[in-house]
Amino acid sequence: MTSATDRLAIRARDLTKSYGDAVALDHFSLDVWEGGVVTLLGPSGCGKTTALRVIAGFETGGGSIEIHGRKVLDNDVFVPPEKRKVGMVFQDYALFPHMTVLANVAYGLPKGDRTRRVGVVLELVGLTGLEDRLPNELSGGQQQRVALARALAPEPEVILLDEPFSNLDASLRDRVRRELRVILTEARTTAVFVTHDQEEALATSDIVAVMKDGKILQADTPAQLYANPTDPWVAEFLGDADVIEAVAHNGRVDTPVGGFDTDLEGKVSVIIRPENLEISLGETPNAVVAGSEFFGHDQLVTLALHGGTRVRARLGPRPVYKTGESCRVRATDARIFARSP
Amino acid sequence: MAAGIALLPGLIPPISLFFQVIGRGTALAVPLTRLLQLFVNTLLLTVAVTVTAVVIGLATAWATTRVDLPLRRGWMTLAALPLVVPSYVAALSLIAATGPGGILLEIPTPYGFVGAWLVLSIFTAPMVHLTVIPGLGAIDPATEEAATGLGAGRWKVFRTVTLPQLRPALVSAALLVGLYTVSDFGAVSLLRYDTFTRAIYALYRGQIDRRPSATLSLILMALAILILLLERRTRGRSALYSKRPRRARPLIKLSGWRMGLSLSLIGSYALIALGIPVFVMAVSVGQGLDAGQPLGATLGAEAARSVGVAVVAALITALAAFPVAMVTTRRPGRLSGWVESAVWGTYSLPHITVGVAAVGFALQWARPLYQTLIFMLIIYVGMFLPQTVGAVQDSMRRASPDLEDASRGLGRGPLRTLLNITLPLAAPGLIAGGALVFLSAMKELAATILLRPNGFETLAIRIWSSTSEGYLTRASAAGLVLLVVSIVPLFLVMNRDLGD
Repeated sequence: MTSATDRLAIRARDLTKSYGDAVALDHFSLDVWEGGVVTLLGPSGCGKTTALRVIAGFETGGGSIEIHGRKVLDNDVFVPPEKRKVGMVFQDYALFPHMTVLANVAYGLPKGDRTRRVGVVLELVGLTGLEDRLPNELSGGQQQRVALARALAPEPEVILLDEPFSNLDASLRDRVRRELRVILTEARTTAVFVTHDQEEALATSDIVAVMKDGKILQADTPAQLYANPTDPWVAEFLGDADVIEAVAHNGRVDTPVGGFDTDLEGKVSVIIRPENLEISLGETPNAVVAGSEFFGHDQLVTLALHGGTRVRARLGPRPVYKTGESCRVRATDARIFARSP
Repeated sequence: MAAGIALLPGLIPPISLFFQVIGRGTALAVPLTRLLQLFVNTLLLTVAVTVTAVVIGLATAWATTRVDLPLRRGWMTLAALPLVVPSYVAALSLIAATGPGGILLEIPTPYGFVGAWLVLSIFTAPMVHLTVIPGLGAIDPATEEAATGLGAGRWKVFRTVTLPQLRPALVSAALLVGLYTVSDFGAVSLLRYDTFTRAIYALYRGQIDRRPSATLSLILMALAILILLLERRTRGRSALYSKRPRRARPLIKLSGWRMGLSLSLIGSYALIALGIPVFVMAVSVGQGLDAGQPLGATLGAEAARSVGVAVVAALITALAAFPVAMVTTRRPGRLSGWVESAVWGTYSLPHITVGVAAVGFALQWARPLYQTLIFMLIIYVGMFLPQTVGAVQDSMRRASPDLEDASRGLGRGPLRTLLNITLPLAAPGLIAGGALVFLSAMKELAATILLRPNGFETLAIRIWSSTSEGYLTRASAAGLVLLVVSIVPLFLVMNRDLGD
């Protein structure tokens, strides 16, 4: 019988790290299950890349890390990066410019079985035939896949990817992202991504961990995270959202766009996503259309509520609302958080 | 640790000089009026040379980057080439070209200020040329186009948009020329203009008491460090070039007489700075051969010594530069800041002062080293280290530290990573830096005069001593050999500096 912790690929506890006065990691803890794909998501400077580098062993820090049950960082333990069996894909790929694709991919392999294994990995990433090219003779997408192949070649227990798509064109990014997901599943490798692109995080991961100021605020499945944020900052950071400030009393909070049940009492923030707003004409108006952006498959209508607060509603392409038109706005759903005084 | 040892040869001379002067009583060893006179002379020459060199260098840089000249890249390289001509060779050409029986003009040789000013201005202009070209390249064409769109003419655009953006590069170039001028010994000594360097040498040779020459050396060192500090300050600010990629800039099309004028100006610069020295020295050698003067007797041995010393100096310096460059680019922090300052501090020291200081150090504290080849090479490493460190840092900065992390992450230890990744990446810088040291060591005169073992004649020494004794033919023969030997490493260096 195996206990749950045996199947943890990464177990990081209370990681701390600072550069001078700047705190990069503030008691950062993370569990990654074997075979899982986890994304660290946060604004730039939130410490997500530092977390990755500490896990890989490129930087030291306080706290402890276990990889597949083996201690690699603790008070008196520091396993150097070359002994951690962790693959890393760097933001700008860090391909060795003086080596061919073949030499790059073979770099982490023991002598002997190299050529066969390189062939296998290059086939996995779809680059067979480019073995003798130098990195500067490859397109951005190809370089990205060489970086991935190089990291996968030694069959690492965990692979870490630092903003792996940020240097790709938008058109290429979606395709490479899907392919990467397939490759990782085929290779059955545990992966930790770092990104500041929420769409990318939601689309690629089993678990998304939202980071701010060196800490994880919430780690959950993409759907849970979007629907049930446990933190107002997470709610606003992830997807579009507008905030209406209100006061809760006796289990109810009333706002211009409707009333909601709540356990809270006193000042609250009511956070509403644009897709949870409805507009109707002909009823007693409570808002004026302040502007709209048309996207073809839908439109985003900005509404000025009586009283001044602005909210955005994502609606179907029809009907078209005219600026200045009066209408009634109603929210079908909202998240309510206590507001610190 | 290794970086610390590599720094020692550069730091010993200035520190020991300080003790040589201060340790022996505080009375000023040189009369104040003499000091003032030297100061004024040096300052006058420095200002005149700097202004002239900036005008020439800015013109050649602008014309070869912005104007649609035929063979533009060729002119760009040609305008940089005079850098290879040492100041004493230039002075030799001027002396051989003029005076009674002069090869080009039978006018009195312009000894003193005029000669020194001419020679140093013409041959330091390439420093400005090479510094300004990247500066011009870094200016976003859109800023100039915007000015044109607002109705400014070409001259107004240059004055109000180009020049202000170029200022950091220009100031940096001007200070480099200034530093070179206060440090120059070859031209001022042969053309007999009384500056600090010439006075230091005269005092050193003429007096048994080393205190006066040491005192002047210390003052000159302080002056040089001051100039260098100013240069570092402007450089720090000029590093903020925007990095975003831009469209290529359309070249200015000149027509008719304007193109003719541009071409003839840059052509005459190349002719004066390169053609005349080579021509004059060749004619001088020819005249000597006709007159049956023996030339080759010692020339081969001198060339062999110069090349040998230069090769060894290049190898040792490259070896020493690697750890220093590693520390300063890969482990930024207070320590590497100090290392960086120490390296750049030694770069500014005039070679004649390093020579005086090193001789004093050897006589006082390390007698067995006095006038040995080893000691001379050690001091060379100290003087030339900054050039190599700069070149190696360049290649290391271009290669992301992620490459080393990537290697570690793929299971290679620190040593293997150093050998497989870091060294190959630093190689272009090591080669360019080594070539630079080779060039500098070949040309080195002021410190070599003081430090060389008895009877150790190099090409540089031969050119200088034969010129000052009036044996222009012998000097010219050595000068031509020196230029020829310098061409190959020069192209190694220039490829890096002018690369796209």
